[in-house]
Amino acid sequence: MLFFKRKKKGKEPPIPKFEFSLQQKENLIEYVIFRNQVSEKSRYQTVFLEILDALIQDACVFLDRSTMKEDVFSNFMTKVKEKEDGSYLFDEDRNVIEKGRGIFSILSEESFFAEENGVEKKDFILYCYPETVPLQDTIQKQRAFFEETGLYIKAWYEDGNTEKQTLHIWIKNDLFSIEELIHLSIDTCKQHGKNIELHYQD
Amino acid sequence: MFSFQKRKKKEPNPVPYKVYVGRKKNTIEFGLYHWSQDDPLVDYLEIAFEILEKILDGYDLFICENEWKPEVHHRMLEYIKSVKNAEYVYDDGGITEKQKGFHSNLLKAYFQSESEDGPEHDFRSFYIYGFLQDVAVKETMQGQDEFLYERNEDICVEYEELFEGPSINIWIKKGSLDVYELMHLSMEIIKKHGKTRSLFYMDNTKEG
Repeated sequence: MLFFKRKKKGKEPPIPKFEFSLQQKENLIEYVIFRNQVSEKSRYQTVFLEILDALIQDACVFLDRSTMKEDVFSNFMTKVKEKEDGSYLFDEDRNVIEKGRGIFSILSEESFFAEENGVEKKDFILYCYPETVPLQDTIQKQRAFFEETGLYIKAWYEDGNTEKQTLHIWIKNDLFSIEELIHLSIDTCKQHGKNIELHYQD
Repeated sequence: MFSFQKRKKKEPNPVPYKVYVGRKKNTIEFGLYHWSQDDPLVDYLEIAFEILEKILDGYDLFICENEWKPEVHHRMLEYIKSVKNAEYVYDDGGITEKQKGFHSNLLKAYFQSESEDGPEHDFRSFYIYGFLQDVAVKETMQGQDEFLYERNEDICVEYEELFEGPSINIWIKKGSLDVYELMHLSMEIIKKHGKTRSLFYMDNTKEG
């Protein structure tokens, strides 16, 4: 009789991969993208920005960053002032909120694509709304507004330490099916030639 | 005055049926695992066999069983002998049946149960080797085993009732279903049976 010989599992070095976790909650889907320590950080950012772009498309987006590094903050301020229809808030602690359409804005460009900013922590919170929402007068009022309004799509990027990054995304029910999100995760990683591990739980 | 509040008993979350899909260099792997005291084996078998029926569609299958209990071996042999046009070989240690698609007389006899609730966990196991082209049954069990050992099958199934519950592992070398279809069909079947699900997908075929 034939039997499968199971390969003995030895201690192997960790494989670079991006990990995805999907959970169906009562009113929302929780979608998390992790980078493990041996995978490429810049490619991880490219992958999650592409995923956010696919989810958000050209909906109304607020990108909220706290206490930015001085040079990154001044670069942002220079660029955003040049833009005629720049829509943003800032305060003396270099907290910035930029309103735009879709994920690609001056703030996200400055945070993720400007080479000189490679070592800066890039934590952000993103709020997405299906309709255009007016910008408030102050950072404080704007953040209070985010708290009060219902969820459509929200994301929180934790730059963490140098070894591990996490992007949490909360998506209101019925915007995307679990299946669509599984496809999006696998296809995006495949397109970038990246290993993937995906967990889903009902 | 304090009053004791009775703690509300939390309904335990049902144990999900675990689906594993893995993309390897030349193979797609699929697994279905579940163990819960609350779920009878029959529930798992209904789901697993429905999935197997879909995945094994179109293959020439060799369903192999090595039952160590003589009375069970004898029962299966008697049953398969009674089936008209059944294709099989056997010896004292096992029986191999050939089928087109997943409709097995051998497994019907193997999982036969006198209990009203259907078959219960009994450390059964079977293997299936599938080929996309026609393959004839050999004359002897030894010849059949050697053939299956030497030939590179297009699909292989391993069913085991382990201490940690029943499990199915499938290795697909050649087939028509891609990873998305495997995920979709298995998740839909589990859902249709009213069970909770979890999915684990892995692709380590890339450089980084």
